[in-house]
Amino acid sequence: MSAIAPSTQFTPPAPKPEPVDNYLTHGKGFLSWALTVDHKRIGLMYMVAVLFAFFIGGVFAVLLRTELLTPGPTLVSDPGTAWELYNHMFTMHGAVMVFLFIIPAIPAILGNFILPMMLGAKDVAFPRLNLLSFYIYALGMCFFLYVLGGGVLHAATGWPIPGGFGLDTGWTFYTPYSTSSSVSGVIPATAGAFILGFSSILTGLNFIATVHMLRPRGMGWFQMPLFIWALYSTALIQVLATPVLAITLLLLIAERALQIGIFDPAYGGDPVLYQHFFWFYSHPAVYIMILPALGIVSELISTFSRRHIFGYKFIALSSVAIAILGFLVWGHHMYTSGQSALTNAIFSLITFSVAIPSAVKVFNWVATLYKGSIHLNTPMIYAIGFIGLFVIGGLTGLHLGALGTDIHLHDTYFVVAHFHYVMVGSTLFAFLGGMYYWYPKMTGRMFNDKAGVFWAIVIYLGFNITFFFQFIAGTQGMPRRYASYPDGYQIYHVVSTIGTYILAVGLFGVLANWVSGMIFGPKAPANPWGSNTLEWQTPSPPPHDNFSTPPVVSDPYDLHSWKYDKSVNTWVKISPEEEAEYAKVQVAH
Amino acid sequence: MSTEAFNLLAANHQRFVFPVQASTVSMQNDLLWWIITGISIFFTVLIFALTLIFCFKYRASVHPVAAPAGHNNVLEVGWTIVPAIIVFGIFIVGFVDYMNLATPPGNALEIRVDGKKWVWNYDYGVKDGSPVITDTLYVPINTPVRLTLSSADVIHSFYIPAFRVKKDVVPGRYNKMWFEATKIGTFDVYCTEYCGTKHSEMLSKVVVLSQEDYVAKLKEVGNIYVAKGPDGNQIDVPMETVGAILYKARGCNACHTIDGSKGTGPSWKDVYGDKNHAMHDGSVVEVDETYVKESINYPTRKVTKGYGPVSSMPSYLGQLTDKDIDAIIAYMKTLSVHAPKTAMDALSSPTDSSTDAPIAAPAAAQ
Repeated sequence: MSAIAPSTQFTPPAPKPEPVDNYLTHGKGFLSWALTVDHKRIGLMYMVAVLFAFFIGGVFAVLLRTELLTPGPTLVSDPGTAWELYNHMFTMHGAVMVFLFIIPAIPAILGNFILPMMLGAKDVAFPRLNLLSFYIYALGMCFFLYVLGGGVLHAATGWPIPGGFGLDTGWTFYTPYSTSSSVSGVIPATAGAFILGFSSILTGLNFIATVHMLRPRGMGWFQMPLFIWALYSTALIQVLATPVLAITLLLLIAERALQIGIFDPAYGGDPVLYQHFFWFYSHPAVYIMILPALGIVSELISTFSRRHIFGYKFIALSSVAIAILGFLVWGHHMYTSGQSALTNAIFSLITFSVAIPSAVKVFNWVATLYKGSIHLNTPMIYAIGFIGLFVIGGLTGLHLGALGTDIHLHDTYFVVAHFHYVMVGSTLFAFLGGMYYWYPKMTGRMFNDKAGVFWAIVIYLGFNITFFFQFIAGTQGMPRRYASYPDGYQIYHVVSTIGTYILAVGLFGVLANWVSGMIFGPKAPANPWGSNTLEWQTPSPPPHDNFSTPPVVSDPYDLHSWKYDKSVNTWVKISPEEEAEYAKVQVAH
Repeated sequence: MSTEAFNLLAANHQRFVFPVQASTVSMQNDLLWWIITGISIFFTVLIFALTLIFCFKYRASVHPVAAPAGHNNVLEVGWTIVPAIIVFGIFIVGFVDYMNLATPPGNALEIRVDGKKWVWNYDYGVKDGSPVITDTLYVPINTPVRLTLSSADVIHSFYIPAFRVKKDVVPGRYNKMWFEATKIGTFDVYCTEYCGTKHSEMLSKVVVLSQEDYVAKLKEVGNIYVAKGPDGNQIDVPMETVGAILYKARGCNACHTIDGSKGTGPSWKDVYGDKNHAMHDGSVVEVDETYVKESINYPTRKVTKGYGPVSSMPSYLGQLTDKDIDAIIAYMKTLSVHAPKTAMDALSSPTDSSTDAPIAAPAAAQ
């Protein structure tokens, strides 16, 4: 059979004495969660908050795509109101998705839950700091959603919402529109983003310390799983880049409140300076979004091919290369701003260099599949989907990195399609794949695999229908952030909107799949996928302090040391002698 | 080499994937785009195919034992160097194309483009002491044109898809761009940097004409105070009609309505001549010639109640002559019941206290 674990007919392993408790039952009551320093509980709390933010961002995506069904006003009849509403909605969609979903999602949910366990550790280096990071996120999220959401509500209905002045500048807050022209709540919204940044910085700090200090004996740098390399590289960016955004946002607030003259030319400032400051953070930020995803895909490809990852060192070092080079390319967002041709040329050249480590990863994954033993469970479907969509997203980056073509494509729907392919088609897919992969470990249950595969395909189709034709719309000149558009573009918008609805249905399907697994799913074994990373050497769900007996450290991709045992319906570790027998079979193969 | 081969769905100026090629750089841009796309399709198909083939050929049910750990330094170096060469090649072509885009020829025609929320105005220079300003860009074919871009308020971006050119319009600096049109026709101009409520309505057109037609057009639009009469003679256009033209052509209509509905700025309906116009600071003013002229040139000095605390109107100082302002005032008078009657009006209709019906602005601005 080709599935690692069968779906609902799954028979639990032979009965063992029930474990005393696990991290979910250890300590009861609201305070045991609210004041927890257990990285697993913190990961779950982040999950609830981040998925809620994803839902809100998604609601606005559906609304703004619905507005774009017709060239004129669609959701409301008065054009002035329709455009106001649209501008608030596209800003809220972008800001919520970037700051509240895609930057935190993988590190704060899966990183928090899995990183310490992959290192055989009891927790992160600074557990209390971890809880503080969560509360900063929660505070920033509530504040941010209130300010922005209040603004949308006000724009739609005209009701006065105290303090909810909204934001209509786009998530990029370009000056001088944000400092002197917009009448929306730029200062409170910016303050919300400022607060949220600290959650990211402190999480990064925590992970760096954890990886340096809490590796077990026998796990040097080049014996770590690739997910950890990915999280470490991400943490470096979080710690070094986010403070630049924080300072930039403070300067923006000061400019708007005090008219100092940093960015506003009316007072002697330079609007392009703002763009440099903003993109100096926001370009590395996109690598914060993608690097953890690339790490997850390495884990999934290896486990579900039953094969040691091909080119481990190259993949590990490519994560670091992307992190470093990512700091040197921010100017490619500004080719048309009026900066010099020399500046443009330097940024373009370095931008192309970032493509190389990404390509290296993709080739190594495909080489891992070669002569593997492929199991097409739900996490693997997401990983395979990721490869195709990441290739399209990355290659369309070439059109944008090249100076000549970018002049035509900048600020059109081509850019919108490109970044959605890498942020949704890639990062979201890897996030979902990782959630499915570690779902048995986190919940102690198995989900329905057939349903999981079905919804993955629905999401894949919905995503491509939504975004593929935007490449063409953009090449035909359709500008970004337009609430109304010339008639000739309508067909692209209608197709995109239909795709959005399909994508939304698929995502609700995934949610239903997860919830139903938690209620009806059979109990999960310690290692349902037969992976050799350390988190699988403890029961599902894990006990409060992760490991009752210290895990055995070995090559994280030594998948041949596990064999599927039908009598207990799960993967079991085999002895080196048995593995040698296996090796003879392989040589003959 | 022409990309007519890709002209699969040509309709209404649009070609398959691209707008019509209407400038000297359109073809080079499209060519590079297709080269990158071709390379992308090749690698996408390759990766998709290998992935799907391997997933099928090595599926666990037919291939239960995976091969041992693999690594191959030759392969690693190979698939690092080959993409590096390819992307470096793309960089070079992109750079060369860009230098072409960024370097105007010495003999280019100079036109000023002024962007403000939410209208594009084109300044051709001065004729007979008056600036020649239009809201449609007229250019001669096969002539390099250099645009100097300025903004009075926020960042905009000037984009002509058919010409494949774009440049941000940044307040506080003068960005420049150039093009040479190669086809007669009318092509879209979009603002493509988000600039507020009516960003998606900040549209314009560029009209490419033959050299003779261009010269004639400039003479025609140069003086909006005169027009051709029915018998071919030059006649004077009534001031209120000129005012109605300016209302649209200079973008007043982006913020001021004429039917009383609320816009970004106060409506012009029933405002001129109002002796009790309430201001934001609690004072009351009369909306007379002085007030209107000051509000056009120094809009932040007096703010109407309900539109404060700070006016968001950009200044038109230097962009409207005194005669233009008089024309606008004449138009505003036709929209207002408060407009004082002139002595001649009082003679003809002594008991009628209302003015003529407002003049409808011409359907097409020039």
